[in-house]
Amino acid sequence: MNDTRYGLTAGVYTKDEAKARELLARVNAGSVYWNCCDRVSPRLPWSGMAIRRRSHALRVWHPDLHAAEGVASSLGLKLALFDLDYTLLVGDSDALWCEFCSSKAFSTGKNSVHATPRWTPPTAPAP
Amino acid sequence: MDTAYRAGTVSAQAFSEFYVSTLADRSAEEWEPLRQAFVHDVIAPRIPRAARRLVRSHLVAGDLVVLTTATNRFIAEPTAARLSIKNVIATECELDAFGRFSGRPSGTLNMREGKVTRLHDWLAERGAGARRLRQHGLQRFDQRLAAFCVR
Repeated sequence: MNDTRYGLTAGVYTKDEAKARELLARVNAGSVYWNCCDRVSPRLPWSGMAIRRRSHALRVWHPDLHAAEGVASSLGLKLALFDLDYTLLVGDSDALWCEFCSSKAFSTGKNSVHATPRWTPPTAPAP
Repeated sequence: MDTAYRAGTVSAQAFSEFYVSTLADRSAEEWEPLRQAFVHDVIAPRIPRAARRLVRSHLVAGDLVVLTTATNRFIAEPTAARLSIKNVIATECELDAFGRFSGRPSGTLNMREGKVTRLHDWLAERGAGARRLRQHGLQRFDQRLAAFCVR
């Protein structure tokens, strides 16, 4: 496991936690996992241990992207991976539309929407 | 609905029909003032600057940028416009004889396997090959689309 140029992450799969801890303690990787392999937490530093040892990245989590960028800047980070980097829209547009319409439904005016049973979520089970 | 869908207790069809039904009995023109307010008040503040930069970088590089979403076209298009994305593949809304939304989706739903089908069809219509696709967005873990992308 240690013969890699990057040393980013490693994982072992075993029912024995003690054995996993023992093995992973000997692995030279930035993040190690037991019985999984891809659970990067935005609340933890995220870095490799080999070729990029000195260029640690910090994954910044904050609901407000602008605030997150401010945190990264204040820490002098050259590389920051934002939780929202690849999010084109924060939130689900369908749900947001419903919330928005509902908020308008009780106002007067021609743009109010129906508060009819069709707004009740159907109860059909997944196939 | 969203929570129930993610929990697997609602079918994709029911999920889509529920949201499309919110447009029923009105035409696009009748909805337009509310849609504009929605985009201005709700959507625009929720588009991260990083997203705008990301899309811009692709456009500047000459990439073909497509927004593909399970959301219906009426709601999705202004979001795409805010991101300067001209190409949108979305769930289509059925119109009634009077040009109003019937409240039902039409055609292949642009979700789950349908998202791959629709993207495939869209590319085929334009004679564009999917040699190298990069996926961004909320559905980073959309395994079907990801599988398609690496073919």
